[in-house]
Amino acid sequence: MRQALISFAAIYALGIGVVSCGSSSTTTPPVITPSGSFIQIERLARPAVKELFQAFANHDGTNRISPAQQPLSGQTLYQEIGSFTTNVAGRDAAHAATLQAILIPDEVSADLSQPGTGSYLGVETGGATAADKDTFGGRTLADNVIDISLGAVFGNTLSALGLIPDDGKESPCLTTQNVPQQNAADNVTTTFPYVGAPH
Amino acid sequence: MKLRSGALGGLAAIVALVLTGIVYNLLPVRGSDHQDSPTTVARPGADITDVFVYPAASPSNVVLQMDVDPLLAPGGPTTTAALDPQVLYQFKIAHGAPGVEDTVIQFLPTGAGTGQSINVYGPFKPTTTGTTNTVGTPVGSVPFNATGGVTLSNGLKVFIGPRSDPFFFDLFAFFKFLPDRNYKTPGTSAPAGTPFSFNFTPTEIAANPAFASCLVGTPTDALSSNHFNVLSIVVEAPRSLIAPSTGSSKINVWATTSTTTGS
Repeated sequence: MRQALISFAAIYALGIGVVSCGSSSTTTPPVITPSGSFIQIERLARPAVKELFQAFANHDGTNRISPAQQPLSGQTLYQEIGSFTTNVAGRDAAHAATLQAILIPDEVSADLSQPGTGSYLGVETGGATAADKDTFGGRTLADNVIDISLGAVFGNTLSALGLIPDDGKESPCLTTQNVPQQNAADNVTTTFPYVGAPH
Repeated sequence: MKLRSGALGGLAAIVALVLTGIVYNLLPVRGSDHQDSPTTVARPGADITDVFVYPAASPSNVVLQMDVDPLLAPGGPTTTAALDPQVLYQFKIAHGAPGVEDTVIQFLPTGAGTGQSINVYGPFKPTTTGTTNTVGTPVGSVPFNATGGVTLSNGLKVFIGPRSDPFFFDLFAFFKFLPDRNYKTPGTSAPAGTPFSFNFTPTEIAANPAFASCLVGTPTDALSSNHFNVLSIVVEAPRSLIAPSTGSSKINVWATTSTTTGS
């Protein structure tokens, strides 16, 4: 595959006329635009949704569809969110239905009118996922997305938000991964490009 | 190499390096979305590990970030990695109907290896939505790994290159109770009696009655603590370029990778 890639790249680079340029400057657009269609092979928005809910064998199918593929309830991931939540996590049907409604279609939501610092699921939960009640939402580099997700699936996050009654079926041993971000200072910076230099 | 306990010094550094080798060579892992399908395992340059959306240092700007090419070990694998020139990388942004992109930003590498440049297209409204796409009109081109970023004529500031993987996850614990999720053991169920639990120390368990039945073990972050790297596509944009022109200022974002062959 690598050989094929290199051959393709060589031909492609010659055809398009690569414009090389220095950093930190406005550059001249290439003059030739490639034609033809590209077919989606991978898709991602919210972290760890496929990984938690969906059997590995079904990931490829999810990666290849639009997040809006209709009916939403026909998406394999939608169905597996339901079955995992009730059969593996042991929650009630209302809990499963609420997770399905939040997580499908799979997108990261952000409110660009908000001045906050960002917090995973901040828009969907009205700011409940951050101590400062941030409603910009999105997802920051430092967010503990695993703990936030575990709280929604195995903990009482949804009932605490008033979305559903508490079904009393929390799994405390699965409500936190119990590890903080390591080397946080290496991973997050205050200036562009904001994510830390490679090790 | 940063250590939580400086007293361990060189020994800990050696142990950490050995662990890195073990993780990388013997137990390929998935975290947020690392190595999540046979297709992406075969084409790591198209394997999206994480998507981030966060405010920029300037309050008028927003940052979109997509990480690809998981588990790049420090050194050679990191210094030689580049975007896959057969792959179109896209941020897709919906303003209205859920899951239907109103705006896209596209990146298409020209050339293989770290000497490549990457053409940038958008943000623009695509002529077709969904899973089969064409590129728009190029805005500019950025060299791979231009550390300070390149500002294009429309105001986008772009960096594409190797960065530290900020994702953190005790996937060793996760794979114990959900071994199916490890791409090396798909279809495998946990042995009967396997506790569905992350790891807790005896002190933590003693301090919280709710943890009484939890697994006693050492919590471990398998990713950032081992200093894995990824390739990051980081775009800082004026919010006005990304926000809907009217109505709500909410955006919904996802990322995709595509090839002309679908493989």
